[in-house]
Amino acid sequence: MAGNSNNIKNILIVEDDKDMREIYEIFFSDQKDKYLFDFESNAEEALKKLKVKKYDLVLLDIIMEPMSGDAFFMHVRKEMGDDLKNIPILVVSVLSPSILRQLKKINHVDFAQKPVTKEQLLEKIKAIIG
Amino acid sequence: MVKKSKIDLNKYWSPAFNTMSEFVYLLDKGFNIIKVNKAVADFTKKDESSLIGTKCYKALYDVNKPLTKDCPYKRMLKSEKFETLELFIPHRKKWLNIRTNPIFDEKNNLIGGVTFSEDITDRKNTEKLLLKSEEEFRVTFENAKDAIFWADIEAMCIVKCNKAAGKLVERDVKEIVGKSHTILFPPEKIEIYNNMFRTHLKKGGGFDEPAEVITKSGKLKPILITSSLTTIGEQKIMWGIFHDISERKKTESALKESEEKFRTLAEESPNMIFINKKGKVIYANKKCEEVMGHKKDEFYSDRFDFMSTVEPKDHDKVRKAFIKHMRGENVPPYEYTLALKNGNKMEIIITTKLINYGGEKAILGIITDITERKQIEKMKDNLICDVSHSLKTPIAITAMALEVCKGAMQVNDLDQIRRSHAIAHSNIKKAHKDVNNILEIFTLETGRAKRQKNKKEKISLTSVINEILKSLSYLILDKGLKINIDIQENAKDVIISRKDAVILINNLLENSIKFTEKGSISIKSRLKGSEVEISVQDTGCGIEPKHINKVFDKFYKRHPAVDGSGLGLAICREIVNIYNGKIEARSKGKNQGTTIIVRLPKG
Repeated sequence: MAGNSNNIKNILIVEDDKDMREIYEIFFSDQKDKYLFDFESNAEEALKKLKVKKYDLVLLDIIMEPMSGDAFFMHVRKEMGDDLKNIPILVVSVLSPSILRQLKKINHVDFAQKPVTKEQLLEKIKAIIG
Repeated sequence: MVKKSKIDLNKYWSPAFNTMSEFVYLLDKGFNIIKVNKAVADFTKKDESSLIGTKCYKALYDVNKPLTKDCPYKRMLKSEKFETLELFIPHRKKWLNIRTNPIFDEKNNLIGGVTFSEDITDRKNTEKLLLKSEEEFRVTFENAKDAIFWADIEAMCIVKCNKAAGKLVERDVKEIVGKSHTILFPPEKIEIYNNMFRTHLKKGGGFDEPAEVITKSGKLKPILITSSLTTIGEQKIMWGIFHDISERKKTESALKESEEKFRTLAEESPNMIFINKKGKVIYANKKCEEVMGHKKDEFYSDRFDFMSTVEPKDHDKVRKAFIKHMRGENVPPYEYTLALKNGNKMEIIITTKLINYGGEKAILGIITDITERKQIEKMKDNLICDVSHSLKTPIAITAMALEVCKGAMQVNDLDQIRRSHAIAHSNIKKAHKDVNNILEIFTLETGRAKRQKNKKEKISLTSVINEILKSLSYLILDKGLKINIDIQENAKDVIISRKDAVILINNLLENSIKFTEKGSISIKSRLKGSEVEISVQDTGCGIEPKHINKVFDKFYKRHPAVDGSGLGLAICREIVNIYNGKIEARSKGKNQGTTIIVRLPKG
């Protein structure tokens, strides 16, 4: 399947930390045949991006200003149209697993706690969108 | 003559003698009985004829010689005169009054005597009793601790008084007896006391009244008079016992004084102090009024419910502690929440003690406000939370960057090694800075009171600003920012500790530089009343109106793209608060620049 542009998945990374975004870039630099990444540092802007481009997965940070990751998450699940409200979300945060599990209870979502390895992340992404 | 008289004696005198209860006997000079009356015969239980010729002492007392050397008969034989003696007969437990008269013959020669013996045992016993009671009275009277006076009502003078009476008024007893009672009382009170005596006399009864006596030297002594009326012989006597109560008064006033002292201590205590008896508040100090908001009258009212000062969640706890106390068990200090009259709550710790109040068990409670302690505890919790919150991200990123670096090193990817190393390095530096900032704000928050005592001095704004601009010059030059300084002459100094001035100005300027990519930063100072207003205006990214109030919150980040702990302005606010100053942020909106305005006391 590699190289088939039809099978390339679009992933939106919502992360306000510049260094963290750079790490993602390094992590995924050899995944360009499978995934295409867009970066957004502001959750409000990310909401707009969701409406103009179809994404297969969102990688979401939680502690962000001015709009937090959980506010973004709730907005997607409650305010968005049917085509968008069930978009898979993978939360990647420094928050403890117990807090993240609370989020999972609300709606289908997976999570990974920072620090996370490239392999762990790819495994989770693969499990969700293939 | 003699014969005739003998006849007479036998015929007329014998019946007379025989009716007498006294012993009558005639003796010759050798103590031999010549004649006895019936009383003697009865007493000795022998008939008269068998007694004649026996020695009188043998017949009467059953002894072989006179009972005493002082025998009156013996004396009479010598003196030939009337002799008498009161004699105790031990084995008969009787007192006899013996009187004896000589008998002479025609030639005036002593031939014997006639003796009368009267049983005076009853009289003797009564006398003894009287003597004893008199002695007892005398001893009691003389040695009584209280002063006792006898006054003759008609003669209007003191007829008797004891030693204690003399001591009370500091006079010799002789000096008092015979004088008017007025000698005992202060002149200005005599009229009052006379009325008092008269009133009681009319009623005829005894009385107890407080009064005052005056001593010879003019000293006044408080006394309690117990007095009554009695008749001794012909005299109407008013007797009075004066009980000196100066010691009691002294003790009372000492007690009152010490109570006063403790009351004042309790009243002025910075803690709330109360006494609760059977669920009722019977004492509450000023602090209780101030803090809880009830007036003393409300506390003491029958309708007042002590539990209304306790938050409902703690009712059980407090009730149980009180019950435990009433059982006599110890209750260690415990914490609960006070419910104040105005609806507010207060965290307190209470120390209680079971005391005796008016003969009954009561609970003394001392309440200390621990709001501040609780706040510090909360701050400590916050500190731990803040530290972990702000360290988590940079440490997680560092860990991830190092992981990347490790992988890159294995394949010798120099570009990735450089990038990941730079990320790890900057994040560790950031973590370090954050910890410092958090500790700074923590000490500011907890040490606010202590810091207020720090040495405040007149600080020149220009010198502090220049010093800080120098240290920040690499950032300013990097962005090519223009710095304008406009310090007015009448607003060039502020009152602040030097350390706080440096932290404050540094944070203000660093903050502005951080959010300004191009343009200028203008620092101004103006006099506003007794304060100096310092403003730092930039041409940076500005703040949206809805976020303007959040900029002083801890960990608030205006711009996700800009590094920082989100503590800079929070620290500024803490410092300004210490000096009772003001801090405010103004911005017309996004990319419209920001102005932070600070007011501090003028130097």
